[in-house]
Amino acid sequence: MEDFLQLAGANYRSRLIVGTGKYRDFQETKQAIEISGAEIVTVAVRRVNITDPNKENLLDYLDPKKYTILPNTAGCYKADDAVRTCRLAREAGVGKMVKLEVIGDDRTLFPDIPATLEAARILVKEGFIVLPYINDDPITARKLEEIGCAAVMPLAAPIGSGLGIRNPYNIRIILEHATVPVIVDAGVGTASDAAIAMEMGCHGVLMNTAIASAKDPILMAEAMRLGVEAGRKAYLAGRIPKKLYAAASSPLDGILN
Amino acid sequence: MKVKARFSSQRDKLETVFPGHLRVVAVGTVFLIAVKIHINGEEKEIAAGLSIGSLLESLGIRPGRVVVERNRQIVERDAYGLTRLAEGDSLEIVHFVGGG
Repeated sequence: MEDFLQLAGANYRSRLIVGTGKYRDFQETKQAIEISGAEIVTVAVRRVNITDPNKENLLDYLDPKKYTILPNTAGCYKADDAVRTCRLAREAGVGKMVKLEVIGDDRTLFPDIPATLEAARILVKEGFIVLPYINDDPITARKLEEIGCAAVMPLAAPIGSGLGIRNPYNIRIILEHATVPVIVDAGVGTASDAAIAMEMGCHGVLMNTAIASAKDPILMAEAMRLGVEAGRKAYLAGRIPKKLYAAASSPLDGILN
Repeated sequence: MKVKARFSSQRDKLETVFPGHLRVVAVGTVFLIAVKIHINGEEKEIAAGLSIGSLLESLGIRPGRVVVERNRQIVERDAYGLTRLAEGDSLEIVHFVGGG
């Protein structure tokens, strides 16, 4: 049975979405992404250094024909700035899907929800496919879905913290009510965190630091691919209920007296 | 705005023709009226009437990999050659970098 992540009418084989920040160089970025199996990769929009315009460009290493490029609005603290960033990103010609993040505070990097809602409304109206980064808050998830976002992306834990899913119960509530894909975005630390998110029934996981800042990013990229796949398969297979007492695996009949 | 002055000699000669606040920049042996614009927050002096396309070329930036905003309005790639810069213009030239 083919199992796809369905996002805004497109089918993706991989449920792992990866970032492109914090790698040593573009070569390492490219290699890690290839091994991760990801088909959607996030990028940031920044000023070109005009005194030393680097001849190499990230897109020289990530073929937009091969990958779905997902521009983010990282570093935006206001709805206006996020909208402006998305418009610039769209003009680059990589499609109209954006990862909306409006940051509320530079220490936690938690989202500013009123500003996120405001930006989402504008962007949806302008025809963007909006994937918003949010708290693990079911009410926010519902509101963004009502606005017309193509997915909701609750954080597992603060961006880059590697803490794993801090509030699985909230993620479960979001999952129970959402009719769009739920993608855990940020806070994953290692492969088991990704697997847990997938076992819970999340539709995808988005991460950057956990791979890029691992001692061996290439190996971790592979571990994350396997973690996401294992978690997804376990979810589809249906786990056994947790029980307090033992249930013997070997038959009780025919035991020697 | 198309202000183009052709002079074979020096800056002071131009200033006798255009006294006061006018500035000039040399492009080869040609002197052009200079204007101040902002590029990515930095003040730069460029030749009046320079197109965005020519500016990118002079900066060594491949137009296919960037997006340009002029005075908060996105300039479409097809219009780079036609869009001429004027005094006080504010440009943002952005591209994709690694991010999460």
